[in-house]
Amino acid sequence: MNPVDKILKTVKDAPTLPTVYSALCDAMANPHSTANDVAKIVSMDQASTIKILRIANSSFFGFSGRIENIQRAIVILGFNEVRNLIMASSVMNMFSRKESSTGFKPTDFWAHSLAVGLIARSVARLAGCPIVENFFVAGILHDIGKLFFYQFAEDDFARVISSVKKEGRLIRDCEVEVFGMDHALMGSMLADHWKLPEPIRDAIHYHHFGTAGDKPDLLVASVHVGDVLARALGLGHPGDDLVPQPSESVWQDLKLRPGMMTQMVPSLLRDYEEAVSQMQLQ
Amino acid sequence: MLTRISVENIKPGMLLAEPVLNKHQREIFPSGTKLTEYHMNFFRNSGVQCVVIDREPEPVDSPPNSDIHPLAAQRVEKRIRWKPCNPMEEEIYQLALQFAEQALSGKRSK
Repeated sequence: MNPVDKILKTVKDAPTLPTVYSALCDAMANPHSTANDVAKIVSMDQASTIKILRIANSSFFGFSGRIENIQRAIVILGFNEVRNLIMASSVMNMFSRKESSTGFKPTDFWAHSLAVGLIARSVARLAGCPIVENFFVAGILHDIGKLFFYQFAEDDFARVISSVKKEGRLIRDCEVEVFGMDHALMGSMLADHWKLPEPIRDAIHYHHFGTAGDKPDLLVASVHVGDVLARALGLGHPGDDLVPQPSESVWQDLKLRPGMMTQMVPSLLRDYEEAVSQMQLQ
Repeated sequence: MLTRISVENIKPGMLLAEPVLNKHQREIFPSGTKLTEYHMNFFRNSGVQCVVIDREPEPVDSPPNSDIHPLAAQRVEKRIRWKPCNPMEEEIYQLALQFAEQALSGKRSK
C-alpha cells in the first residue's frame, strides 16, 4: 500500500475525540442549554475541568486566579472558548509525547504550537477583531497533521525528518514527497474526521497561505503570522529550522503596522513561559 | 528630548518620536518605531529628509557585542532565506536577529 492510501485508511480509523467533547457540542447546539447544563457536562470529566480552570486563570486570558469554577469559566470565556479548550486539550492528550530516534520532539512541537496560538490571538486583538475566541485553539492545532504523521506513519515520517535535516528544507515540502500531501492537508482531514468547527479547519488547512480564498480571513491570516513569527523568535520547534516568507496579503488583511509586533513581544514571552510551564512542556 | 534630525544622521536603534507621513499625509511609520538600516534606505529612496526622534542612540537591549552580532546574523540568514521587502518583514527579521543575539549571549535559552 502506498503512503497516501495508508494515511487515508489510518484517518478513517483515527481515534475520536472524547465523549465530553461531543456531549458539549450537542448541548451547545441546543438553544435551551444554560451555562449550568454545559458546566455539568464538563464537570463529569475531572481532568478537563482542572485543565480549563488552569488555562482560564492564566495571565494570557487576563483573569488570574479569579475563575474558581466551570460555571464562571463559561460565563467569562463563553461556551465556544470552553468547548475549544476542551477540544485542544483532548487532542493534545491523544498523542504521545515520546521522542523518537529521528530527533522530532513532540514537546518542542507543542511549545511552537502554543506560541502560534498566543501570537494569533494577540494579532487578532491588534487587528481589532471583535471576537477572538477561535484564534488560540486554531494556533494550537494548526500543525496537528505533523503529529499524526509522526504517530501513525512513524517510519515514513522518519524519512521526512531525515530529508529536512540533510537538505535543510521546509518539512512541508519533504512531506509532500513522502506522503503525497503536507501536514496542512492532513490536518484538515483530521479536522473533518473530528468535526471541528469550519473556521478552525480552514485555519489548519490554509495556514501556509494566509488566506482561504479571495476574501480576507482574519483567523487564517493570524495563524499564518503566528507561525512565521514563532519560528523567527525560535519559540518551540516545528520540525524544521526555516522561517518561510510571510504572504504579502496578510499585512493588508490584518491592518498591522510596523512596530506592532515588537510591542507585542514582552507580553507574548510572559504568556508563552507560563503556558509552556502549565502544559508541562519544559 | 525631541530632536529633529536629518536622515543622514540617523543611527540604528533611534526611536521615532513622531510618526513619519507620506506625501498624502498617511502614516508610514508610527512613533516609537525603532529605526534600522532598512528605514534609513527607505527614507533616502522616498525623499524623506528629516525625522523627529526622542533620544540619542538607544542603548539596544543587548549592545551588539562585536563577536555575537555577526554570528547571530549568520544564524538568522541560515533560517530566513528571503530578503525583507516591506517594513513588516523587516520587523520580523530584526526580531529574529535580536532573539538570536540574546540566545548567543545566554540571555535566552534556545
